[in-house]
Amino acid sequence: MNRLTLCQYAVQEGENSGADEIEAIWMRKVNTAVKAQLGQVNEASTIINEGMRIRVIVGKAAASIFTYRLDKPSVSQAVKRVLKAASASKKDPHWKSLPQPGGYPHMELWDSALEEVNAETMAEPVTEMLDMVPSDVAVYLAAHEIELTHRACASSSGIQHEDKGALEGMFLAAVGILADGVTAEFQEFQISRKYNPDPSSVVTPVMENIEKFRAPEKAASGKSQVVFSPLSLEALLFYTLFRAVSGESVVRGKSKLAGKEGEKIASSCLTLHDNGMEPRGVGAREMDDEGVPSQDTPIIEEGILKGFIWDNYWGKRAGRPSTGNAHYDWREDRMLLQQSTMTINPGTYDSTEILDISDGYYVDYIQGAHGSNPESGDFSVVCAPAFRIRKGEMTGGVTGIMLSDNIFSLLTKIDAVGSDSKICEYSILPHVRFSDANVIAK
Amino acid sequence: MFSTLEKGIVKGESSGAEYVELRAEDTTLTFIGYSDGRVDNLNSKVQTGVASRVLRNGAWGFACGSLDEVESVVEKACSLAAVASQTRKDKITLAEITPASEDVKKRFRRPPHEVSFEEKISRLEILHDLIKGYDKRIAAISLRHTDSHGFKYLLTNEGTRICEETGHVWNYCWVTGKENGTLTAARDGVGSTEQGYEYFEEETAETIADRVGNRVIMQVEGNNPKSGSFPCVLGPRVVGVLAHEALGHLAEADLTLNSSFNGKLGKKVAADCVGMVDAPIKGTFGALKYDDEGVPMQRVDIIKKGIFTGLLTDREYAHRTGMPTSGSARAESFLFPTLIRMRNTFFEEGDYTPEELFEGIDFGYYCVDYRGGSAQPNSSFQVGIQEAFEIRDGEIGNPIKDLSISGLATEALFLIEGAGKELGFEEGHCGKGQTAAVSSGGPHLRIKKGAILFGGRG
Repeated sequence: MNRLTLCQYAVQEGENSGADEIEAIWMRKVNTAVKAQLGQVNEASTIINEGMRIRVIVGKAAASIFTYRLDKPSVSQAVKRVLKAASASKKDPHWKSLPQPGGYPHMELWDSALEEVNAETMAEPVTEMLDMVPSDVAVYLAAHEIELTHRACASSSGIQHEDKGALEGMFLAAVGILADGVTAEFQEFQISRKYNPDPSSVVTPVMENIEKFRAPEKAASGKSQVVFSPLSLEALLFYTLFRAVSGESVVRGKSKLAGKEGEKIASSCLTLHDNGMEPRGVGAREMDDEGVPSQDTPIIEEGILKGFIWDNYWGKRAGRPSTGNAHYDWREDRMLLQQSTMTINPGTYDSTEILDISDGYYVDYIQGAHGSNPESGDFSVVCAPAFRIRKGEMTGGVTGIMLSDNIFSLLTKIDAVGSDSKICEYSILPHVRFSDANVIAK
Repeated sequence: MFSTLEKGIVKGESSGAEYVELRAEDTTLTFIGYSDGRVDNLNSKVQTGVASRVLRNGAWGFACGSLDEVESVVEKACSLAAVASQTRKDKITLAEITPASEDVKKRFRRPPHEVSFEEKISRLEILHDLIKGYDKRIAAISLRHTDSHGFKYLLTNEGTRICEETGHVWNYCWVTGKENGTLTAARDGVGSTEQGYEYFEEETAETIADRVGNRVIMQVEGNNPKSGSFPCVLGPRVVGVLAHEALGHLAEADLTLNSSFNGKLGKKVAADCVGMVDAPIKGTFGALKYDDEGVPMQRVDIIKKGIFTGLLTDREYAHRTGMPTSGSARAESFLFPTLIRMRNTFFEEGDYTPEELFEGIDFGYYCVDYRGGSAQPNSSFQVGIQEAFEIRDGEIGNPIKDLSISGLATEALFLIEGAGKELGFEEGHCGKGQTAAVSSGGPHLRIKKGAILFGGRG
């Protein structure tokens, strides 16, 4: 059965059985990967994660069910179970209604060539990656993956939509072998909507960074200029700023940015949007997981706070329209109000200019961002790997330095934004340089 | 179930696989969220499916799908293994085991799936109200209850045939405190894979509310900690995460070989007083009888008297390293292949009295509870701290706000001065690409200046 038809069947079953409102979303993700460890390809895999989430509302009380069983009798049984669960739940006086249908954007998210690539073809770039790695570097993981996603959504409020997307990714994680151990782990990945494997684009930066890191440098505690790579910046912002701009955090009094729309909260060189319509972004899709059309939402423009991201529930509670930011977390089985693709506008500094400082640090990645305090904005992380910058050059690796600061304070200390754009897991980011970051060394 | 899986074994062998493994699962999971007085999530998940992992020509193939397509799932895994094997110089070989055949039952007094939604919601409602009433500065409360019950099945062409009943209960709190415009937060996570819903008769709402309420208010009232290296005393919950991050991950054989601990088996890696273990201790979170390769979970002595003595292995890495199988291969669900994972990782007890742990420390920190941690192959570790106090003149002093501590395990383990006499444990989840229930712990540890860097802002 066509999956949108199956969703419609679930909606009809719910309406016939007493649901005030019902929504069904079917999701199928097929991930094919070839992976190498210890210098050789060791595994090829295909993981199919396919199921349906059904949400019902009865008397303003909501419940949901996720099932991997997708035959009609099983879907019908799931509807009965979730209706019973809703009757055990609590009425939410703030509940308004499920979202209405909207106009869906058309985006180039699908490349039929990616559907045709088989594991044998995918293995070749992995062996090419391994062949490019010198003997004094150990590969922890080299991988080539293709992910195909299909979704369909139907609801009693009239939503009926399907979308699909395809992604190709190449990944390398490696360490340099030292006389008395190894370096910190260096990672690089490339994500594309087209089939275009380029092993050197992943291997070369990792090898260059490992070589630079081999020359040990000293670090000193104190305020310093610090350049964040896009990956380290994403890790930091994901656990701090991205949570603070969630409409839920704002309504519940958990965001320091609440009530500051129109105020200057960051350096003028920072413009940040959550752009669910940016086709390069991993989070790009035509609709969110409630069937609301994706959109481009301004968050910060030239340092001024412009707005927040909303889903259907929190948007209606605050009297704002949903910005299409409902994301179903299948691991925790709950709907999260979360970013689609946070995008910082590239600045004017090229890769040489952004390093052009007399003394400072380059942070390639950070440990411990997940322990940050999203409410206060305080964070305390280890910079690993990190480099010393002297007179505009990365002069060697530093081990064991920490950064301890506050994200809302640091946003006002951005003094340079790179002209690059790196596609990361949740964002598209350039390099960013902060002045006066609090560096701690032994 | 096994008769369905047997068709897959036949298909795998006829497709040229030397090893065929089928893992099936039939689990019901419940997730309830309760925030600021409302049920924000009430979800059930019916998790059913099958995973097939095969060795063919010495390489792995993995595929998963629904139970009614077992044969095609196995066929897919075989063709994937053939692709993976094309460029291998050597063949992956598995350590020998004695195949087990057993039905393993849980002894839940109150099986989680038999407890009504109403009762579970009511417990969260009571917990919410107790936390809210703990202090007027508590501004927002997010609670999550999860539980599961089901069966997992393992069948291999070597003769392993295990049906294991599974289940767990878990409670998580994230609480926000607010005073004079300053926001802060603390968390609490507890659960059991050994007990059913009866777990909450011991771990009552009152106990949880007092613990997390106290933590968040200490965050509100705490001073900013200093930055730099100081002598410190770590409590059992922090010691456990230190064990997990500082050496636990690098003792997972798939990580050891690319780490700073490679080649250090049999060598001194810690002070003489240090002993560290990973073991499926009965009653701890994540402990089961068998791992997902059908190997009985075994104790591993990672460090004995300061010497690096053991690795956590699966069958592939046991053969590769020559170490014993430890029963450490686990998969989050049928959607994942197995990985080497810790179970209960802990430092062993010592002989320090409570007074000896603190005496002579003019200024330092006493770290009681953590919020997350991470590890790097070069042994760089980080542990987020959400409950800590100053130590002044050998006495516990004022609380401090949250921070991180970090260090290099290759250096820090030598600077452990001594361990207390009593062990304590905590439960949590490890995210090495997949989520796994783990626990960790130990005694109080006293650690010299120079081992640990405090990332404070004071």
